[in-house]
This record gives sequence, structure tokens and C-alpha cells, in this order.
Amino acid sequence: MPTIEPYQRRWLLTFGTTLALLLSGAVALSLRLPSFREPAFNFYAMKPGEIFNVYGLTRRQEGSVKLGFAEAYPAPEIGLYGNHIVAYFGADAFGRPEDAEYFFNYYYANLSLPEIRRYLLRVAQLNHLPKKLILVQITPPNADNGGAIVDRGNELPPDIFLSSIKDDERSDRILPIVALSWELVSNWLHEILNYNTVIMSLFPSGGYEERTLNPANCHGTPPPAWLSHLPTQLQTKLGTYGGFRCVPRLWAGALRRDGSQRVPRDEDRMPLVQNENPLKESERALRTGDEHTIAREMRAIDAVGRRHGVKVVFLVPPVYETDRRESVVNRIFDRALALAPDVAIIDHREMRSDPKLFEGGIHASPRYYRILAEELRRRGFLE
Amino acid sequence: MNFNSLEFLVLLLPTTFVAFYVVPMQLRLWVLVVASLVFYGVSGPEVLLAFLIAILWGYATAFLFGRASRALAIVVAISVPALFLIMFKYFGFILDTVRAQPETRDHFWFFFSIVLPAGISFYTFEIVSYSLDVADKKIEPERDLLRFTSFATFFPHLIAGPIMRYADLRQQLQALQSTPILKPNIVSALKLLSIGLIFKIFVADFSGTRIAKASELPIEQLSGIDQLTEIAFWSVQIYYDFWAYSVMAIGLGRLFCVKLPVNFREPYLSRDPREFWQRWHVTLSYWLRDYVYIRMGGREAYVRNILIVFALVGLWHGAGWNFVAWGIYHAILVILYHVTAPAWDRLPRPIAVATTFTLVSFGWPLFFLSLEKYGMFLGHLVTAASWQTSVYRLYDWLYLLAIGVITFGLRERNWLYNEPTSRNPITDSPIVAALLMFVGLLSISLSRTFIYFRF
Repeated sequence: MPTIEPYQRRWLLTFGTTLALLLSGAVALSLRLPSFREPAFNFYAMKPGEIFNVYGLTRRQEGSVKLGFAEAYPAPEIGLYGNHIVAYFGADAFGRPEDAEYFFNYYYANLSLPEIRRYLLRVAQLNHLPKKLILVQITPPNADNGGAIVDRGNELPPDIFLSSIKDDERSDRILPIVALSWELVSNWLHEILNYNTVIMSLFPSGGYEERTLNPANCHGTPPPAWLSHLPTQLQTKLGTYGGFRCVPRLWAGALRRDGSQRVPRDEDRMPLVQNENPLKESERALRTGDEHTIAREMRAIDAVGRRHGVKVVFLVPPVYETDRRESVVNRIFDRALALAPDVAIIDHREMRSDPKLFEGGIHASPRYYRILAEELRRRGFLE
Repeated sequence: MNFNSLEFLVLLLPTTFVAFYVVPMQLRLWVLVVASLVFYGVSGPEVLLAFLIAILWGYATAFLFGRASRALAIVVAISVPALFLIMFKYFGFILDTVRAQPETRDHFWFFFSIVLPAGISFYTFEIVSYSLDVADKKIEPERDLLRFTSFATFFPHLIAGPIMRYADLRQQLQALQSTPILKPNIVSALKLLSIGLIFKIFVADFSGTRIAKASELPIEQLSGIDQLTEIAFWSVQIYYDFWAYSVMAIGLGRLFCVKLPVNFREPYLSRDPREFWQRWHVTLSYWLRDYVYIRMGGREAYVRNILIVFALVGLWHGAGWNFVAWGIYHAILVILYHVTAPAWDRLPRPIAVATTFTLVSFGWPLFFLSLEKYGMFLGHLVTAASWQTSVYRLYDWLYLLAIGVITFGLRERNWLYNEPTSRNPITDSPIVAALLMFVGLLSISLSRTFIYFRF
């Protein structure tokens, strides 16, 4: 053991006690944070035109709103599982605006394929898989430099992957217990030691009722003039905690009845940036060998659908970019698709240059989703 | 793995610390090597394998000196580490430069598809310096493979320096193996870790978010003030990113009773461009001085040698013409100072420091922009039609002012590297350190990879 002189000992004692108290406080605060998973929010009960405001929710809470819904209520005919990339994919793409009984968008944070597999396994256990078609979105490789495809972002609550272990075909990794323990601890750490979790638990910002509103009928307390002079982020935070529900800016990211995200108003729209991700080599998230992992994950997801008699179609939406087909991540992804010729996939990476098809550099627009829906119909996936 | 990750700070570091002080002294280096390999291995098995091969090669080929001709032994010793560096880091750049056809690239797909090994430039330089020092008989070849591996893998300096020489670490590593009771300076270590973490997140990475604010707009929409503010943020981001890593590395070294040198000695306080390079990434500057500049003849062909050395500095920082241009830009500054030194040295200190800082700052955008975009950036600045800010606000400038006060107004010897006898009431307080560590841990999700991580 090291020798520690008296001054160091006193210093360490104070440091350790203070840090331990603060960390205990963070853990205690995170425990009082409402889950937004139980009782589940019922999207089916929303009226057309209503939105579910997600401001002031942690990432985990926001995802839990949909996760709770997926667990508590049967899925409609078509269910879309993916991440924020497909946020604007609504039932209107099929000509059935906000028809949650036909199509629901279960997109959640930044889920990657392994997390979507676990999500689906959990839903399958509850017999809540979509009746006709499972759409699984894969993050286009050039959107996030290969990120959010097979890497895990600690997005799902740990009980989801614990509950699905016995059904999981992919529990074949070396040292599964070590890997699983590492993942559990890492998941827990990222949830507890998070400024968002602490802040949100200090300032609860409203339950289901306060969060459901119809923008057309919003006549709540108007926000004070000084609010509009503050930086945008501060406006939204203060607006949420101040209860100013009728601030349109607070509705950014709000969910519609079919689980899709409300398209931003023109004045809130960010400029459309081509090649939003510069694909820096130093930040590349796919490497050689990942093509096999991607292909295996796709097959495992496809198998979940097959076991329950539901067709699975994978979607790769486009990114607004120049011709970057030769990027390393794109080529690794090409190889992955070549390794899984047996699964159904709609790969639209080539539709990269028409700005009308995008809401942001990596988010396709409702116009694109109408084209996608048409292709699904044409290829017989909707029959 | 990175210093600014929860997995490192909450799991790997405490586990390694406890294991290091619990095991018998003969096993301490084993603990460090295992922890370092875990730290590095998270990046992937291929890069770990390449790293281990480079280490073993450096270790084994050192015994060639004295048995084969010196020149041949040097070529053999540095061949594999240098080849790895070229293939993993520079090969894409070389093929781009010669406009290689896609079919040519396909032959080398393996090298492109592996993620650039973290810290490859650092460990290559360390292994090469070891071989050259053995060749010059400055040190004896190390027979203890464990000790040599500890030198190359020691995680505090593995990813982003400082670039250590074997002679600097050998005795310290020997002491770890043979001193029954160690006396670590844990107080100083935790203080440096906390401060480094906070500066990384709230200065370097925050500045990065402010830069992104301007970068996502077309250049035509930026005013002159916006561009100058962006340059100021670049200067803050780059410096504090490197600085924070360096401070954390020194703190981590102290936790394990290993003294690492200060790599950034308040470089923005430099009076002239030459002094800047005596304060900025000191271990890299000395490495290039000792192994390149002096070997080429030093002052005998000053201008040529400075140009070559700084072009290498640029290339070392990144595989791209923008990095080469950045190096040449600094070479020109150093040569300019060399020519005008009598006049420059007569400038009042504040003016000399401000001039140096401004000149250095105008080079930083080359770290992030291609040559073409940098040209457009400067062109737009010179011809700026508007000086009405469209991106930045008062709070951005207040923030920069606060950072300016810390950078130019405080001396690190008074608050960071102060002696135990002159304690700073704020930075040496255990409560402040605990608060900083807590806030740092909570905010890690805001943090980004260290810029030097892939150098």
C-alpha cells in the first residue's frame, strides 16, 4: 500500500466524502425520475392534430414513452423500428394521416441494429409485433460516419436486453457474462452520471396530460417577452419549467399520434447542410469486420419476424450529400449488404441530391417517405 | 478508450489504482501493462495487434546494434513501426495525392478499413527514439521486455503524449519494480485530473460547439466579426484540448508515481514564434530537434532545415496538405522571426505576445479546413462586406474574455503546478476538486474525443 502523509490523508478524506455525497445525491435524484414507461402513454387515445411534447424529458424518458406504449398496446399493421433518422416518417406517407392503427413509428433515440433486435425480441415476447410488416431502419453509413449501426449507445433500459436473452440468437459472443456485465454497468453509469438526469429530476416538467396538446387550440399563458431575448436553449428550458406550453419552439421534437415527429415550422428550420458529417477518419465508427456483424444482426432481426410470421424489410434512407459512395464506411456497409442477400432491403442511399427530400442533412422529409411508401406498395410488401 | 469516458474514470482507473498498490512490487508493471492493453484494446483487436508487433519489433531489433552495421540496424529497427505509420495513417493521403484509381485502392482495402490506430504517431516516435538512442549508445538495449512494454504502453501518455524517451522513464519504471512502499502524490493527481476534465468539457469541447455554430453556415453568411470570433474559438479549442489531455496525463502519471513532463508550457504567452515552439507540445519539438533537425545539420542550412522540420510537424499532425501548409506557415513565422529578431525582441512584451498569438491563431483553421476552404475563409474575411455579427452574441465574447483572463492573466505555477508550500485556496481545495470531478463526470456526455486521439 502507498504511504500517505497526514495532509494528503485529510485532503483525500474531504475529497472522497464530498464526491461520495454528491454521487449519492445524483443516484437518489435519478431514482425519483418518473420512467414514462409505466403506466404507459396511449398514443391511440390521442386525438388527430394533438402532439405529445417531449421537452424537458431525458433521452431515456423520451424513448420510454414509446417503449411503454410498445409493451402495453398491440402494434398496428405496420411498425417502424429505428432511430431519429426516420423521425419524420408518418402514416401520411401511406395516405392515412395520423392513422396509428395502420402505421406507428417506434423510432427511439439513436438505436442501432443490436438494440433494435433486443427491442423486437421484447415486443415479440409480449405478442405485440406488428401484424403485417416490420420496417427496420438502418442508419445510413454516411449520416454518422458509420455510427449507430452496430455500436451501442446505452439507449435501452437494461431490463430490455436482460429479458430477451433467452430468445436471443446472437448471445454467442465470447465471454457473454463479462460482456453483459460490462454493458449493464456501462448502461447504468451513463444513465445515472448524466447532467440531464440530475437536472430533470430536480425540475419535474409535467406528466402525460400537460404534455398532450393541440397546437391549433393552444391558448395557454403567453410567454413573457424577455424569454425571447435569451439563447434558444435557455428559452426552451425555462419555457418548459415555467409552464409556457404554448411556445411553438418548445414543440420541436414533439410526437404525433402515429409516433412520428412533428415537422418543424419554417422559422425553426435549420439550414440544410450538405455532407453534414464530414466523415473524419478519426471519428469513423465502422471498421473492417463490422460487415459481418451487420449482416448477422440483419439476419437475426429477420428471423424474429419470420418466427412470428411477419415480413421484415430493412430501410436505408438517403443522406443529403455529394457523391460519397467511396467513403470507407459506405464501402464496409456495401459489403455487409452483399453478405445478407436473403433479407429484404430498400436501399435509397443514391437519392442523395434532391434537397426537397430532406428536412435536415441526415433527416429525410415526408416527401421522401411518400416515395418510400410507394416503393413498398410497388414491391408488394404492403399486401 | 479516452480519459474523458465514464468507463475509464469510474471503472478502469480505480481498479488499476487499487490493483497497482495491492500487488507485490514485482507485479506492479504487470498491472500497468494489462490496464494499458485494456485501455488500448478497446479500439479493436487489429490495432492492438499492430501496436504489440511494433513494441516487440522495437525491443528485439535493439539487440542488432553492435552486431550489424549501424545504418542497416537503424533501417531494420525503424522499418516496421514506420511502415505501420505510413500504411495506417498516410497511405490514403499518398494515394489521393497520386490520384490512384479505385482498383489500386482495393488492393489496400485492409489498411483503409481498419480504424486509424489511436496514438500511432506517438508510440511510433517513442519506439523510433528508443532505437536511435540505442544506436547512438545513449542507452543500453533493455533486456527486460516487461519494462520496455510498460514504457511503450503506459496508458497516461499512450494516446496523446507527452512523447517520452526511454532514458526518462527507465529509472522510474525500475523504481516501481523495486521500491517496497511508494509515496504517490494523490492530492496533486486528483487535482490535475479534475481540472483537466473540466477544461476539456467546458472550454475545449464547448468552444467546439460554438465553432460548429458558424461552420454549419455557408461562408457568405458570416460577417468579419463572426469569422474572427470563430478563429478565437479555434485557438481556445485546440489549445485547451491538448492542454487538458496533457494535464490529465500528468495527473494520472502521479497516481502511479511516474513523473511525466509538462508538454504545454503556457504557449500563448510566447513572445515570438520560436518561443512558441519551445512551449507548445514541447516533447514533439525536442524530438524533432534531436532526431531530425540536428541530424540534418541544424543551423548550417537553417532555412531549409526549418522548412523540412515544420513540414514534418504538419504531416505528423495529420495526413493532408492542409496540415503540411500549417507546418510551412509556422516555418515561415519562425524564419520571419529569425530574420527580424533584433526588431521583434525590442517590442514591448504585451505587443510581442499579442502579435505571436494572432499569427499563431490565423494558422489554426488549417487544422480543420481544406486548403481551398481556408483560402475562401481568408478571402471572405479580407473582403468582408459586413461586420454585423450574425452568429455570435455578447455571451460568446464574455466567455472568450473569461478564457482570455485565465490564459493570459494567470500563471500555472500559481494555481496548477504550484508547490505544496504555496497552496492555492481555490484550486488546492479538496471540496473544489470533488465538485469539479462531479460536474465533469455528470457532463461527460457533452464531451468529445480528444483531438490528438488519432494522431
